[in-house]
Amino acid sequence: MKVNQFQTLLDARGPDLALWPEADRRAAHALLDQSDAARAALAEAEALHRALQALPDEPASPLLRSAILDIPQLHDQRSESTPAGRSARRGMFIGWTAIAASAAIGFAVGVWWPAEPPIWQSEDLVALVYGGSGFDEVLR
Amino acid sequence: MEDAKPWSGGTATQASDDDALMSAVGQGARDAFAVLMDRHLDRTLALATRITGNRSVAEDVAQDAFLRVWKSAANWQPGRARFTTWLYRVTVNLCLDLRRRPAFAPLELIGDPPDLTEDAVSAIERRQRAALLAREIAGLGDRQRAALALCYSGGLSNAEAAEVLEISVGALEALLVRARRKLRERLSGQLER
Repeated sequence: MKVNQFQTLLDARGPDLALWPEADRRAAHALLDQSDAARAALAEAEALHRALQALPDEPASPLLRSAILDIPQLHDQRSESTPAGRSARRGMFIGWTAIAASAAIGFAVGVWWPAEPPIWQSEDLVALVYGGSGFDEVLR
Repeated sequence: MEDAKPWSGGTATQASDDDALMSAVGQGARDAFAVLMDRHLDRTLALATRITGNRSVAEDVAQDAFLRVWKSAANWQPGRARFTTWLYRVTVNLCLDLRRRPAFAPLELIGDPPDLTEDAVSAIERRQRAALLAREIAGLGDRQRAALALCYSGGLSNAEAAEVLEISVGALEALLVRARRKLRERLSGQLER
């Protein structure tokens, strides 16, 4: 076994040589007996392994536990699956808001939209420009 | 909604295996569901936190994963797959689906309660190293991060992690090689020996 092969096996299987297959373990120990580079690689792999193991894992909060324990009360086992997290709650809020907004716009359009479209007369345009009520006022 | 059904297996004890609990959950037993949650929530959350890099997103993932437990229990086939393999697969897939969406909150720095037995300087150094490592893990590819998370937070062997990701052991080890190599290169000289 060469040092670069040993390094690849360290990255693939981790630095606990006891977990390696017998043949690879024996070859690795033989290499370690004669190579400073192999010993340095093992030390570095062990340091990384320890650092990864030492990353803190905080336990779940009581709030999350409570939310999960509520799942059986809130979700029928036979119905289609829907997300349970906060994103789902946000999604529900957005969904209901969209429905309410659409209903409000529909109501407003239905009440205020004229039955027939207005026919613009030229005097209306003049009135609009000059601020009066029509040709008569402008010509006066 | 139906009333809570008691778990026919009796008192929810650690001795009962996950398969039996899933069968009970499939019949509506809420106490069996609670036992499964007690057993597996912390690891599920740790796994999701490692993959997403965001605690609050990970909490959503864990909640959704347990919703899947509740919904899937009725169709659970004992002996077909290990419960944890299935649960971690659901969790990893939920995380990877979320990662594919564009808006994703930045990585939260790793925080942990102060250890009163160590001096302030070494506590700060340790936290800085953990934060640095967490940042570098966040920079890995999604599947590399998932592979690492399964082996460390999930406590799985390479073979078990490969089963969760539905890839060969060789493919899993290729992910680990790339992940660890990248971390070693980026953290060179900064790891405590």
